[in-house]
Amino acid sequence: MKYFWIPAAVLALLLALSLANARAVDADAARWRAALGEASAAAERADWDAASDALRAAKADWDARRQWLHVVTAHDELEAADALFTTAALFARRREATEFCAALAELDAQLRVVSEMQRLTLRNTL
Amino acid sequence: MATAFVRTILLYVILIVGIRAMGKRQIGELEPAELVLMLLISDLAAVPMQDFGIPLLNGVVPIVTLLALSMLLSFFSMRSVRFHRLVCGNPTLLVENGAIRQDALRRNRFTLDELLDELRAQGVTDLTAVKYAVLETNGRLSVLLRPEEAPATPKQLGVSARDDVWLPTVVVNDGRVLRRGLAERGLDEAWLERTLRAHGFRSSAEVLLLTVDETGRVLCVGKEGGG
Repeated sequence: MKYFWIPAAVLALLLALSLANARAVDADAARWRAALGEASAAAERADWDAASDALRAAKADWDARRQWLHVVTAHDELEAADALFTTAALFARRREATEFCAALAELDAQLRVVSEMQRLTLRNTL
Repeated sequence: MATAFVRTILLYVILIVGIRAMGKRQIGELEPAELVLMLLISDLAAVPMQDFGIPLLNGVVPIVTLLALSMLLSFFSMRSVRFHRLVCGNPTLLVENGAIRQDALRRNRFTLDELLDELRAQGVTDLTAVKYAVLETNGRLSVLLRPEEAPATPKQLGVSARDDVWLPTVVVNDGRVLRRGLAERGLDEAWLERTLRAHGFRSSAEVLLLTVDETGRVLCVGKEGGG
């Protein structure tokens, strides 16, 4: 029976790891996106210190998970998100609210893409 | 990652069904499941190797998934003849008593030219000499001739044959002494030295191949330009 259990266990393990990874990236993305939402709201109130702090916190959190994301996600998507973090930080320094909010919206969409890529959905599968 | 896992399973099943639908003619010498495994693994391994923008895991997860699936298919094939037939198909009789079974040819997309080609490759030019021609699940054609056309065996002739077929063990391979081969035959280095000298060689480095069979018969081939 080991010829059944070994491959069955390998498949079950791969499926479990894949689903756990999708869940973890989902939770991470939700946290990053919430921080971006805070930054956007702060920018709209013209509270640039709070906006910059929220963005920095999101970036630090993103960087902490970057290594793992590099292992499981297409690198192009991560580099696109990196570039958007940099752009948003630049607009925060210049205190340009419209551009800052636009960059945050783009970054939010990019982070959604990163998390959606890991999800086991019919759309992704097909 | 999860998408790659599920996609791999789907693609594997789709390719097996596709290869089975194509008929055995397309397979060559591999079973359908083996062919699909080879097709997919070679491609999966190549992509992350060339494209550094794709995580290695995207290649590793599908490959491990495929190998596990393949092991499961083998397991179920061993346990169930029905499952084995479902995955690999059945051998098909294409020629019976010299008559071509045209419906079987059509079902397997095997053209008449291909059948004649396969028969010629096996030294058969007269279709009526064929008792059975079976298209195996790996795509090869097994041809059984009518008894009057097949070479007679000593058993058919009613004569006894001396059993002089022995499996030779390689003792020297391209100058290298294989001690395991020597031990298998219960021989030692001293025997090897004597044998080499008897064949006109000073050392094993001058020998391309030296084998010894169960009866002690030695075959010794020297290297070109050697002693």
